[in-house]
Amino acid sequence: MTATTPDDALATALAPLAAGLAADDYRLDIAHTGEFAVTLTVVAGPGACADCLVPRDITRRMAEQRLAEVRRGAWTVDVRYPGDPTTP
Amino acid sequence: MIEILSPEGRVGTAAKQLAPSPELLAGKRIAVLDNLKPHAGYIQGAIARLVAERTGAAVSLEIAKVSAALPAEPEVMERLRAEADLVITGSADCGSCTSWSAYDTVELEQLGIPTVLLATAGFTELARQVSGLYGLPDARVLTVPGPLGGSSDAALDAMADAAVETALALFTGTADANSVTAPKDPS
Repeated sequence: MTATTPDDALATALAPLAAGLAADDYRLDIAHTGEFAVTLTVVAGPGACADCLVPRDITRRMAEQRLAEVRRGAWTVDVRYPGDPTTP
Repeated sequence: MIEILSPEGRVGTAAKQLAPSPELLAGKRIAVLDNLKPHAGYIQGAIARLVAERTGAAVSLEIAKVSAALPAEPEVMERLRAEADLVITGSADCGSCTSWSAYDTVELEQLGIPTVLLATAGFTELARQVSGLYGLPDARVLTVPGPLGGSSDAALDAMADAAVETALALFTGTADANSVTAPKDPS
């Protein structure tokens, strides 16, 4: 059996990241894809400016750091930005 | 009893230290690093001049980098290193510009220059998080309410006036600036 981290715990851990994105009118969608794996999809709102987006590597590293505080382990964070294939 | 130890360790950037804070600012040279976000240079310059007036410091340099979405160019960093004892960077008022202003701030602190990062309220937490990623979670972040773009000179001057005491405390290492510096009520 594989233990997983509750989705609400993930959302709480990533809330500061989501708040920073929301300040630029981006929404953060979180998909729990494995024991230590998430896919973060950043969705642009109507007022979002492409040049304002946090660099992807920064987003990934912040997420890894926050998730490791919830549950220690080697988290795999797949970050999808607007314009990426499969991203709205 | 058997004690089981986990071999997993914390992985991340090694912690860095803030540059030593001066006790007095008299005679110090203050520079502004402007990322060309709307009104960033204006309010950073206003805060620098207010700090200088109150302390006997001098504003020695106001310089811009090419883009808010990039780190400061090496020649800009070299001028700051040569011509400044204290720097105000910014503005941190979007995701990208906050990330790179935090990067510049950490780099300047590692050059031994106490550096205050000007952030608007919506981006203070991001500025702290990114500074932490670069190894300096206690970076000197000065928060103003914002917005900067679209605000009148009078509104920007009010924000600068309200922020100056916190800026002084951050430069001298006597504050952590966890609160927003709201403009004074003009009434």
